[in-house]
Formats: sequence, structure tokens, C-alpha cells
Amino acid sequence: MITFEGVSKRFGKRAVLGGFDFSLAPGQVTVLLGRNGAGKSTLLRLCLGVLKPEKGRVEVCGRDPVRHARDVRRMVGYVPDKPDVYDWMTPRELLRFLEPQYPTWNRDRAKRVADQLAVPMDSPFKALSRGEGMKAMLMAALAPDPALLLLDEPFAGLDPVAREDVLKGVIRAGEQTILCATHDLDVAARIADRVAVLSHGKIVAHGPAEEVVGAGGRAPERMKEILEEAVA
Amino acid sequence: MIPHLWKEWRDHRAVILGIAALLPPVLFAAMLLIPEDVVALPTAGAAAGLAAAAFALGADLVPGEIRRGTMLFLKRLPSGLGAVFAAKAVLLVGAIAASATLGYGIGSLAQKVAGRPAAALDWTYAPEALAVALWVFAVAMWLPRGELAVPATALCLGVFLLPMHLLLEWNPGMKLPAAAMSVGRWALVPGALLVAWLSFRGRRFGGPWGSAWRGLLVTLVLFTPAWGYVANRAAEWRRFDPRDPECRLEDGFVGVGGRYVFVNARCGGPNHAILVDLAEGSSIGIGAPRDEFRVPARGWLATVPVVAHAEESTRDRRHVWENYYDGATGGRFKSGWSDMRIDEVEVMRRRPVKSPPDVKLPEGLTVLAVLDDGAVVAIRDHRAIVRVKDGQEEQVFPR
Repeated sequence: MITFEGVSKRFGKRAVLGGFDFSLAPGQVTVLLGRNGAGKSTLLRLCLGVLKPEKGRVEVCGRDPVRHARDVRRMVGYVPDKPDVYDWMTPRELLRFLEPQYPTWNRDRAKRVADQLAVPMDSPFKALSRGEGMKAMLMAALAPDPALLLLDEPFAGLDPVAREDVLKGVIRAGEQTILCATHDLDVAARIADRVAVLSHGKIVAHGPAEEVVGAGGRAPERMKEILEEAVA
Repeated sequence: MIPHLWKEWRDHRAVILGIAALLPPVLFAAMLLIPEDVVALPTAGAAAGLAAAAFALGADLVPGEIRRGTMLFLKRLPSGLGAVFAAKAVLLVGAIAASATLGYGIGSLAQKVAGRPAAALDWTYAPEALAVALWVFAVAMWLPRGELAVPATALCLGVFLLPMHLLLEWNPGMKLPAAAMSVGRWALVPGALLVAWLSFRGRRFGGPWGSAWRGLLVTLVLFTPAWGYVANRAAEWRRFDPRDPECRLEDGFVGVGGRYVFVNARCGGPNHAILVDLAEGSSIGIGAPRDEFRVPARGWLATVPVVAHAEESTRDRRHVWENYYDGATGGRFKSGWSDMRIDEVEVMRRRPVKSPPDVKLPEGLTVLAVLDDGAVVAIRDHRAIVRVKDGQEEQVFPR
């Protein structure tokens, strides 16, 4: 579903990803763990084709996201760390704006997710709480029935109730392949089938959650240890 | 593109409606203060409307997205940046057209209210005005803030138009063909859109610098043919080659001693003042194109002046800048405005060569002078200077 081979990416003099290899099989929820600035968002943006690697090859759903950006973006849903749409826009207007751009748009699913998450459809984003905004963004990302869902720290800064709602929305969408970047270990423990730990621009651990975090694992404490070991 | 167009309208309708609401009262009041003979009010209104839309909307279409953090949202849409750009460009052109039409209407009304005679819309500078509006849109993409777009556009266009301005300045009197001027002026409009599009594409993976270097590179590519064309015209304008079939020797003055001939020549363009050395068969251009040799007004034939094109008018008369040349040496010995005092009486009073003789010469010869040895210096068929002696004709220039 996702393949990174020898991918390097730098911003100015700062190397964010260096000779990065990573692959993601379909049908599983993979949590990408890493501290702030580890390169998690960069990795997701490379998948979307909004960043271009300096070196290496990126393939998403069998396509190069830079050369076949339209095809890839139609198959990929993306939820940013905060709502980044127009503050005057309502969730309903957002759906109306996006619908003609996705051939696989599923109105029923959009409605179902909106109902499940209780998204206020007619309030502009500027009037929504952060949690409501994130639920709306998740709804918009799931509406085209994406083959791959990319979540870029969608739980950051949410209050516990909102985080639980967004988390439920993600869990209910579990039939898709999901790559979720987060440093929220509790969230990671709850949704991950596989865990990848990103540190200093490289994957330092990657595998089934049980393997990576050890027997009886999935506990946030163990993941925290893993992360600290990786950083060390 | 329709969803994007809706998005752009929805995003900027406050600015567009604000222009529509504020333009009429502000413009109307301002127009009543404009003196009658300064400018036609409908044209001024249309220009003000265009400027309002260009500066208020064009300068913020892309910087606004960056300021509000919505650029990543646009970048990750499947429709791609092409649809985003097209919608922005259509909205801008539509807003400019509507705002200019509104300004025109206000100007026409002000014209009537002020009781001034009706004046038609002057389209003379329409391409430049539209081009500047679109360049503001393009240049704004290179900048972190839209407020800088207007001075940055002025700077950018100033830098890129400077070579052409200098070429025209250094070649006074040179005129570019109307068709070429028209093509060049209108080409600025699609040129601005092309620069804007490529600058916008530069934002796909980069920031302002990625956008700016692409935009500047494309601007350079667009302007280079124009610079080349004007430079070529200037070279043509200055060119004099006596062997060129287009060049004609119009007339000439033979200096004292008969060595130097001061020739006026044309090669399809302006006059060229050419100093010909008959002994060497060589020539050099004097002054700039359009300069010409004339007989001094005071009647001293021995010394031939170059009269430059530079002119200075005073209240009661027009002065002409003159360079006086010594007919014997070909050298310049005095320069000044045409009312300057002549002190070099000795030089001026040297005996001139004889005036054209009353002798029968072959057809096609324009006699310039008879030298002391009896030889006749003449122009043959406007192509060459010849010396005729004892019925023998010898071409002395060009050799």
C-alpha cells in the first residue's frame, strides 16, 4: 500500500528523512510513533505528493504520488492535526466542495459518519470547537471511501471527550488501511495493529504491535519505553 | 472548476462587495474635484475601478491562502493546482471587468452631473492597465505578504522594462512599428498569466523563493525576445554600410583641400552623418542617427557643421545644438547651441573648394565640388563617391 525506498528529504540544511525505507501492507492500522520533529508529518505529506523527496522512491497504492498526484489523492483520505479549511466554510459546504473531486464519493457514508460523530453540519469552522472541527475533517476524509487513510496527529490538543469521539470514528473506519502519526501513546495502544517508531529520520522499529512492544504489550508505558529507547 | 470558482467567490465576496459599495461614493466625490481639462472622467473611473480590484483582490488571492494556512488544503485536493489557479484567475479578471465597468459608470455620471462635455472611453492604455493588474496577481505569489505586491510589481516591471527604455532613450527618434508595439503591449497580458501560473506551480513544493525564482525566470524568458527585438531595431537604426543596397548617399560637402567629404546618407531609416576620407576611402559615423551635415547659416562654406537633433526651445526661439567641423582636418573644433558666438574666424574663413562647376559630366553624377587640380568630386547614382578627371571616373568611396 505504501512503499518508501531510500527516501531522503531535507528542509534547507536540516535532513528530516535520511535514506528512509518503509512499507505498509493493506488492511491494517499502523501507528507511526515519534517525537515532535521526528519527520512523521513529512512522511505523510510525501505520501500525498505535496512534498517531493530529494532521493529515493515513494509509492502509494501502486502509484508515484508526485507524478500521479490526482490518482493518489483520490484514493487517500487525509486528516491534518488541526482543521485547515476556510473558517467561513461549514462542514456541509466542505462536503459539497469536495464531492465533485472524488469519483468514489459516498454520500451515504458521509451522512453516516456525520451522524455517528454528531458533526454540526451548518456551523462554520470558525464557530466549531477543535474537536468538532476534527470530527468534520475525519468525516470529509472518509466520505470518498479512501483505500488509505492518513491521520496526522488528529488527537493532538483534543479534550478527552472529543478525543474519544474522534478515536471511535477512526476505529469504526477500520476496514481501511490506516497510517496514523501520533505521539499519543495511549491512542496508539488502542488502535494499532502495527507500530513503526520514527526517530532521527529513520524507522528504528516496525512490526506487529505485540512484537514491537513485547509480550502482553499495548500498554502505553511499554510504548513510551520503546520511544525513549529509540530516541536515546 | 465550478466548486473552486464558488469557493473563490465565497472566500472573497466581502472584498468584491466592499469595492462595489465603497467605489461609487469615494470615486464620485473624488471626480468632482478633478479639473475639467486633466482627464476624461469615464476613463479615470474605469482606471480607478480596475486598480481597486487589482490591488485589493489580486494582491491577496494567493498570499491570503498562505496567511490563513489553507494552502496545504488546496495542495492535497485531487483537482490539482490547475483548477485552483484557473478559478482565481477567472475571479480576478471578472472582478476587474466588473469594477472597471462600475468605475466607468460612475465617471460617466460624474461627467454629466458636473455638466462637462461627453467623453468617450479612452482605450489607449487598456492593455498596459490590464497587464499591470495581472502582474500584481503574479508578483504577489513571490511574497510573504500581499501588501508588498504593488511596489514589488513596480520594481519588477521597472527592471524588466528598463533595457527597452534605455535603448529608446539612447536612440532618439527611433520608433517601433505600431504592429510590434501593439503585439508587445498585449503580450504582457497572457505573459502575466503565464508567469502567475508558473509561480503558483512553484508553490507546490516550495515557498515564496520557489515561486519567485520560477516567476522571475519565466519573466526573463518572456522579456528577452522583446529586448532582442528592440536592440535589433536599434542596431538597424544606427547601421550604416555604404555597400548595402538600401543605403543612399543623399548629398555631401567637400572640405578645404578636398580630402574630407561630409556626407548625409540614409539606409531606409534616419539620416546618418558620415565623414568620408577620400585619401583612405574610409568613413566614420559622426554623432547619432538623425544628425545631419548642413551648410553653416552664416555662409562659411569652408567649415561644415553637424547639426545634432538635440533641441532646446526658449520663449522666443528654438535653439539647435551644433558641432562645427574643420573641413581641412575633419576634426571637430566647436560645439554649442545655434546662437553661440563664433570666435574661430580664421578657420571659418578658409577658402572653400570651388563650387560645383558648369561642366558637362556623365549622367547619374551629382557634383559636389571641383578640386584645385581640376578633378570633380561627385556622387554616382547615390551609391558611391567618385573623382572624375580628364573624362576618367574613379570610385574613391567605398573602395
